[in-house]
Amino acid sequence: MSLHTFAQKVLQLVVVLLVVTFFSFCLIKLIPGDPVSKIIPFGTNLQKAQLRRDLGLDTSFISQYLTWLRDILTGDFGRYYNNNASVSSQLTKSLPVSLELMVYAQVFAMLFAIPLGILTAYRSGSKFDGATNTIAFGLLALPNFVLAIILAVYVGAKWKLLPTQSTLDPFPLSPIDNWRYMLMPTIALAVGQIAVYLRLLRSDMIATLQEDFITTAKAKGIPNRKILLKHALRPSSLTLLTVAGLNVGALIGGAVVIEVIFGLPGLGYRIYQAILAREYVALQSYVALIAIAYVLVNFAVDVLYSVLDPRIRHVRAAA
Amino acid sequence: MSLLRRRRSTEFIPAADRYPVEPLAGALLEVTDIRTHFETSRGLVRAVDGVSFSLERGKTLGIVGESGSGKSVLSRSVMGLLPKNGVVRSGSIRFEGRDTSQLAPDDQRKLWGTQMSMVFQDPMTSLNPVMKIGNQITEPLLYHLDISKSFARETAVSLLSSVGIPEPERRMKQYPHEMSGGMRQRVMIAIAIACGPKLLFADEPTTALDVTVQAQILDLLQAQQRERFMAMILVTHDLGVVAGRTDEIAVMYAGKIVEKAPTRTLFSQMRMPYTEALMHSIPKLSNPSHTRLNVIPGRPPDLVSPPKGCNFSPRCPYVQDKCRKEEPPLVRAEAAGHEYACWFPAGTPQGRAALERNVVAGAMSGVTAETVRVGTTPIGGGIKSGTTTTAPSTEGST
Ligand SMILES: Nc1ncnc2c1ncn2[C@@H]1O[C@H](COP(=O)(O)OP(=O)(O)OP(=O)(O)O)[C@@H](O)[C@H]1O
Ligand code: SF4
Ligand SMILES: [Mg+2]
Repeated sequence: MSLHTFAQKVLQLVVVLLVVTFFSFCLIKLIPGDPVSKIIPFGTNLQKAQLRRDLGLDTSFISQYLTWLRDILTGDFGRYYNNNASVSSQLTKSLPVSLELMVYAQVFAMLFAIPLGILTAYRSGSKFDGATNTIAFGLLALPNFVLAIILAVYVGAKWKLLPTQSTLDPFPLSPIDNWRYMLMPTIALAVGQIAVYLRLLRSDMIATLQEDFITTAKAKGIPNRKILLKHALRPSSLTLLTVAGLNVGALIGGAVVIEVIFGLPGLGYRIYQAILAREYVALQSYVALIAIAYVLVNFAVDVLYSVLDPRIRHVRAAA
Repeated sequence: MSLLRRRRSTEFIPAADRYPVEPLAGALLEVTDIRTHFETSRGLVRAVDGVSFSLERGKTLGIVGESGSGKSVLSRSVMGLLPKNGVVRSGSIRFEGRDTSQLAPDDQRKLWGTQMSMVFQDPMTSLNPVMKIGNQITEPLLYHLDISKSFARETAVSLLSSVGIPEPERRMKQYPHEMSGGMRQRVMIAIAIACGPKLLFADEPTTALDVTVQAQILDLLQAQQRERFMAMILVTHDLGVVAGRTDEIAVMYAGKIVEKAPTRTLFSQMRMPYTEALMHSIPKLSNPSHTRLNVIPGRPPDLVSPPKGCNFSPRCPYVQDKCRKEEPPLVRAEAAGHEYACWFPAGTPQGRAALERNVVAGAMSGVTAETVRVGTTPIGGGIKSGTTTTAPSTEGST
């Protein structure tokens, strides 16, 4: 990708970021009536006036947004009203947990999906392919919260193999403990993804294996393993990459149900708590943060495309 | 290493006596009665249906026929490149005296690249789009030959320059989409000859290319074939392409060889009406390069249920009742190495009589009548009729 097109991409990115943060900001405006009396219905007038000034409700809408944006960019995400704790200190504890869960779930899903996708494509139409696809479809039909509950009830509560409720704060950082808490949420999140990734890779791979250049590779006399890994995998991975990128965004804050079921103190769990406690300001920051993460990850995916496929670089440069 | 073989003179030597008699006894490749049928929902597609030929070391065989006559399937069958599922194969393929048709996949693979390799039809799709040219060439070198990475790179650079690619060092780092079709086909040739195969298949290597570079690529193939003393099977639908470049020509129709002869003999004494029709349809230089043969009236037969008797009978200007009942066997002609399958061969009294009967009967449609007229023109002479083809260069058009 040429510098020029890269600069263009970055510019687009900035615009998109402005748009998503603006809409996150608007969330608080969706609260009907006076937001202040919704947020602290039993507050004193003094408290209400303080909050009004905190929210900048006495200034114009755009300047409110700009102030809020500046605060977010400088790491000031506002405060909880109930206990006056700063949202950013909460974030520094909960974001790593969610990121960890997201990375584990993605890696776990890929570890199964990539080899299985390659093999089922290579042996498409075989019994192995049929069985794998049937199982994948079955897993796809199983919602992750159902799987999570099954795991929590049996592995956690009945057989007591793994802990289910981590009310621990800070989150256990010793590797073994960490794994014990992470394993079930990871599996619950990853299983459905395995099925999705597997089917995406398989169908792209089957198409790639029909290409002429695969016959060329075959006629070179190199073994099938090399043909699959060196020639077929890369051109077949673009769709997989796209969807995995979208999932990163979704998993960072979207694992709400899973985090709640397993009591993992991640971002999703905090969002859940913020909703219950009507912590609108915190909620607004969380939503903005997730939106930003979503956009950034997909920007990275976009850049990765041109690393994977030089033709995209070329087309972009020409455009 | 075969790459380092002594350079041979590349000035023109008539194809037939280009090489001294090889001391190694036996043909390089001997194909006997091979059949390749595809199982499809419509039935069995008889893409190759009983083909036999042999090829000496360092010689060139042209395989000519219309689109769909089974040329690609034949060359892929011989090389063993076809999938095993849904394909019914029979017959024997002996390469250097060894039957390769029953080889296990791993043993089969050992032949590819080092003993036999293939240049494919479409260089736009035959190179890996996401891999640098250099890596695509060094890949087989590194896999098959016990050489270092740096030596493989040097070899690849010299291969690129030997196939006429300027600035080979720079090209090594490029991707296929940064090159023209002709350049890509040169790269394909470099890949195919990298490990010094003894047999090179070129499956319509110029069909997808611009007319202006077609001759260059054919010349390059011929030069490399001579220089490295490879045997070559040159597949084409254009008799003009093989005219000056092959030792022998096999004409294919509906999965069968219908005429086979040393190149000169074929052009001077063609017997099969189909060969004659092909000859009249040699594309003009002014035609767009992708033009397929449609000059011969009618269409090739359905390979699932071919016609009774001679496959060519529905389109043949010489056709007689016998042709529709009995299939003509491949028989020897007077000239050495010349064979054909026809009851009323062109250029013979029977053939002339058959053609006259058809003209007189006037039972043919307008289109076919034209073919009849074409058929009566002296072979090898200037051709009239709808297409004003330039007189086909029967020899020495290199
Ligand atoms: N995998 C396959 N399954 C079914 N039929 C096939 C298959 N491959 C080829 N055929 C059929 O076999 C016949 C011969 O095909 P082939 O590709 O060898 O023709 P060709 O002479 O190379 O033609 P062209 O000049 O178009 O390349 C065609 O009728 C084709 O439809
Ligand atoms: S003359 Fe008869 S046998 Fe000969 S090609 Fe024509 S139809 Fe076939
Ligand atoms: Mg073909």
